[in-house]
Amino acid sequence: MNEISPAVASTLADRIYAVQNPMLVDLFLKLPFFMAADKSGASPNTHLKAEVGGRVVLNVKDGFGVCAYGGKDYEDEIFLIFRGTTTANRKADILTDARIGITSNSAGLPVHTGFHHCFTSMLPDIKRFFSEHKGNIKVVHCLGHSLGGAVASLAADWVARTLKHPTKLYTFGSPRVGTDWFANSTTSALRKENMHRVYHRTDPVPMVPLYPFMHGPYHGEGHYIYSAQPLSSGVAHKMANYSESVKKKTWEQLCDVPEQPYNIERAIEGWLKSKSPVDSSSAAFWRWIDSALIYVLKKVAMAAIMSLQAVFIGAFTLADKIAYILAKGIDLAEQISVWVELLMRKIMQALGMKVAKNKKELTKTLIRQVLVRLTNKANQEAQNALKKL
Amino acid sequence: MSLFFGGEKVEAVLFSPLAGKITYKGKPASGAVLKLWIAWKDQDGETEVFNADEEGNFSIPAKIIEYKSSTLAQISIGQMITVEYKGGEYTIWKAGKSSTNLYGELGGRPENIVCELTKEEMDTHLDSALLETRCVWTKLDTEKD
Repeated sequence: MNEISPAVASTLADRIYAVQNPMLVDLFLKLPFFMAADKSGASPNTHLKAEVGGRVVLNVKDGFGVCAYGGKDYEDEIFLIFRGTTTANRKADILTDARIGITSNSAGLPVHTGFHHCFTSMLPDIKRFFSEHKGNIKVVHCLGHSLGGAVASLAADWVARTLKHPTKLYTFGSPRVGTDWFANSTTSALRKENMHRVYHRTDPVPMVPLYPFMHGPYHGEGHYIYSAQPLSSGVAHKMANYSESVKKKTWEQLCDVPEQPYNIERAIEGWLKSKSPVDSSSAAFWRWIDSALIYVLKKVAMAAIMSLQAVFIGAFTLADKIAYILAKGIDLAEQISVWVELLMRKIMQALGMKVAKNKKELTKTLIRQVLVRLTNKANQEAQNALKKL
Repeated sequence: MSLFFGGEKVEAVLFSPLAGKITYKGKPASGAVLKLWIAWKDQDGETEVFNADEEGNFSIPAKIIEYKSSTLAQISIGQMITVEYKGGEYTIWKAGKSSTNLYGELGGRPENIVCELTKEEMDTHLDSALLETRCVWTKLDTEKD
């Protein structure tokens, strides 16, 4: 199956940002990757509009993605390219980013409410685009940067599942779009080798939302690229820097190995037990905390015979649910509760809070408070909108 | 306070300097009025007006702003120049760019620019940004200033 190179994928994910207004879509479609307009000037390609932001609150409409037929080097190939947040619609998009509840998508899988809403608002146009297409389709390339990457992930899942076309996904600095179960299922639908998730070590966006959100491909590290810029600068998230990192490389060459084995149980236990200070401004902290949270939640769920999936779907907020599970863990036998205690201490320490002295102090209310603060810290950009969580 | 999204002030070139001559059927478009529209922080944008002299020469200075960069938002700039001359209106430049650097529209500084209002087709330049224009130039100076 045809695959586009990292350079082409990053060029498209970058150049879509130059489409500041719908008038410029025509120019974007003149890029050599796409099928040229016919003599009448009518381009076969479609421009999508997404409702970015809350429907009621802001109701901002903005050109947001493009469906395009491949040109001569990409015959019978389709491109679905999505744009991330821009300076013109940032207020609206922050709301989208902030709406991190969980919704079931059309395949019944738990995904991010905001990203899902953004994708479904474009779906009628995408459906129309495919229904008007007469020819053969060899492959559908879905791609995007940042929020655009999140939407591309949902689009790829939909294309692979519903239309059953061979589908390839390419994302740069994408946030997490769904839970554990979505990540697992979309990996089966698309197949791991068709998912190219590129991320810089110190890009904060792929670190959010925290667990239970997870990245696809499931059990894959993606294309991890070493970067040294501090998290706080946000520099590692810029599309221009992704383009710089991937140019002249093949997909095989784009896989630095993440330094620490965060997903090995013994390492997580070691980290939780260690007395060394933790620093919430380091990329490593967020990787550790995410792995540790998963590890402890699973331990509790197993001991209490709870289904995590059943707990996570429903009306309560994520912080409520996680607090509920962890508080349950505190009441369990020592071999379980000790991990909850260590985890909470670690988080409180990183947040600069007064660390709980013993298990009794770790009430459900306190656990919830700590989790809310942790989440707020991780989603600083979403600021006040996230307090709802 | 902010952990991830400091939002440092950075400079962005919204429009690189452009100077040249406007012609109408090959003759200087004396006193032509140029309207430059730039949009980046919203969809509406802002318009500035420039006047060509008797020889049709015009000069639009660089438009540089400082803005608070946000991690999640990429800059996306729209540009359009329309010319009013003898009761007619002509679009001579429309562009979209997502880079903040000087001459990011073309990847260099165009020299000896002539914009013929009656030129039928717009030329497309897609190497650095998305640009369509009726202006032509003799060379593109790509050396860094």
